[in-house]
Amino acid sequence: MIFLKIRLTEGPNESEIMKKLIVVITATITAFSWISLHAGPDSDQAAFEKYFTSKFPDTPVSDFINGVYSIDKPSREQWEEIEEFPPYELAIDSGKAAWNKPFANSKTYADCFENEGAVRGNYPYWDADRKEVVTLELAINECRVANGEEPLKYNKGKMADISAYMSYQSRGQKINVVIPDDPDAMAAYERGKEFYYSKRGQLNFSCFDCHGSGSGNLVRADKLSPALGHTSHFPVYRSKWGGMGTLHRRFGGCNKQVRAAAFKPQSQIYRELELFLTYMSNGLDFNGPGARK
Amino acid sequence: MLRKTAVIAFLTPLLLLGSVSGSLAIADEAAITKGKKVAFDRKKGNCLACHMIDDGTLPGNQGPPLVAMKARFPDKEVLKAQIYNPLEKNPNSIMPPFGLHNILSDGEIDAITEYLLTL
Amino acid sequence: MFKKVKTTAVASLVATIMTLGLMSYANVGIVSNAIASDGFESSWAAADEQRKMAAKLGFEWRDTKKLLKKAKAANESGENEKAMKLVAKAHEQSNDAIAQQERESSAWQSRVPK
Ligand code: HEC
Ligand code: HEC
Repeated sequence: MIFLKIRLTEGPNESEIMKKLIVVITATITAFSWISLHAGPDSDQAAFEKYFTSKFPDTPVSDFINGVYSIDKPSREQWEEIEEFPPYELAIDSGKAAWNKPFANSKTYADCFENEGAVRGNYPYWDADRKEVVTLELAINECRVANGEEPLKYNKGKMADISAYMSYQSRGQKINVVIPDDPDAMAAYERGKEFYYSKRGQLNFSCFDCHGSGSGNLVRADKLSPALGHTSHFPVYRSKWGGMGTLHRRFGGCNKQVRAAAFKPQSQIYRELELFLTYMSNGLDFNGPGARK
Repeated sequence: MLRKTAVIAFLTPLLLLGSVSGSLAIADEAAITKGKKVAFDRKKGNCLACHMIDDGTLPGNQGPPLVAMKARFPDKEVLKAQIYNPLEKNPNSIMPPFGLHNILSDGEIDAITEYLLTL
Repeated sequence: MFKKVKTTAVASLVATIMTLGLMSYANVGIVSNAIASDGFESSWAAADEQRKMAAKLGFEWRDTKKLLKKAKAANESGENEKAMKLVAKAHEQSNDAIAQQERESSAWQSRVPK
């Protein structure tokens, strides 16, 4: 601007100024499109992780997979005691039995999933052919249906048991969600992201209001857990449920508590939300199943 | 004669005022009691989820403690507006818009306002 | 689409109010009951249409469907006034949910950590 002004007072011809202006404008546009191209999931993830590591500097990043216990010493001690006789053990056992029991056509889950079911680290993923997000629970039911079995209900029960067994088999695998460079995949990621940050329901809360800016605060006597690591340990045994529940059961519960209508488990939007939220924890470990209050 | 009229003219409004303010005080008392109840009720205001208030047990700490309200909110309407729709002041507020979304009725919001002004 | 829903809602509301007004004037029990119930049906349908709109946007509230169910039950047991109140409440919830979506479509980005 200053440069142009000086030139103007010197009185150059107008077309020369126009040319310079066009050059400047083009350069600016190019710079901006470069930035927006690179401000994708990758930099989202870095900023997300940094948000929580700065907010809770005493928590090592690898520990965020332990939910509220990663930021709350007193309840952590109780929880560690619980983990000595984990309440999800029954679910793992019954999931293992289901894993080994042949379907009516004498095939088993092992015909659908390799590595003795230790495949948690492959989910969720973007299926480019189907143009949709595939989660572990969706794949479990697709395996059943392909083998002539009835699909299971998604929130709890047998589904949670099998998912618990497979998660247990997969403990220690890295969360490594990939968003391919594909407009449909990017759109799915963006929808999940928008869902996470949008206020919903009569009480007008976004997920981030409680698990981001509100994380660490008390709602009555309960501390709100940070969103980093939020999907690492599902399915989960929750004392309040008196049993196991899948990740989408938790999504539904969190929607309802702000008086928003819950979506169906494994609905498109919940799978896209899972894609986004799991991507945000890339680099951390899967450590399911878990136990929570 | 003239003096008598003057005295009556002087006294009447005072008497009137006295009786009006008397009934106002009773209404206030009822509103304050109701306001506290609505504010503490988990299914209604549930203000304790986020604010320390008065003798309320197990308060959360997402919002500031509601203390010295009369000094800090000399204009009642400003206080009412914060409860009715906190988004007006802060579009990112996590405080629910109790009036805008009909979580509480106007009467309930008035009552809570009266109650808060006693703190 | 938006406009249309709103217009029918307003029209049915006006119709209902007029019907109620006539009812109290003429005080003809059985006949007016049928008319009021007719107004209920169209108001209920308009409120449900608005709920579906909020759901399509992904912003339906938890209790709206319940309110509509209760309204239907109240109407069936002859409590027309209560039924109409519940319908109005449900309709307003969906209006608010749709307004919320409009607000959020530009507000959500400000919350993303940078
Ligand atoms: C009004 C506050 C609130 C909102 C809004 C909210 N949650 Fe929660 N959420 C909770 C509470 C309370 C818990 C249980 C304690 C904890 O772990 O924070 C919880 C737990 C969770 C957990 C389990 C954490 C764990 O360690 O097992 C997940 C995952 C979760 N929420 C996801 C979400 C998502 C996704 C959204 C948005 C759809 C959301 N929440 C919105 C309050 C909220
Ligand atoms: C989910 C948490 C939450 C709930 C529930 C809540 N508030 Fe708030 N409130 C806040 C926050 C956060 C602020 C800070 C200002 C802002 O962000 O809007 C606040 C600010 C206020 C203020 C202004 C305080 C000041 O010092 O400026 C008042 C008054 C208030 N709230 C009253 C209430 C009342 C009354 C209720 C119950 C009907 C209530 N709040 C429920 C979170 C909450």
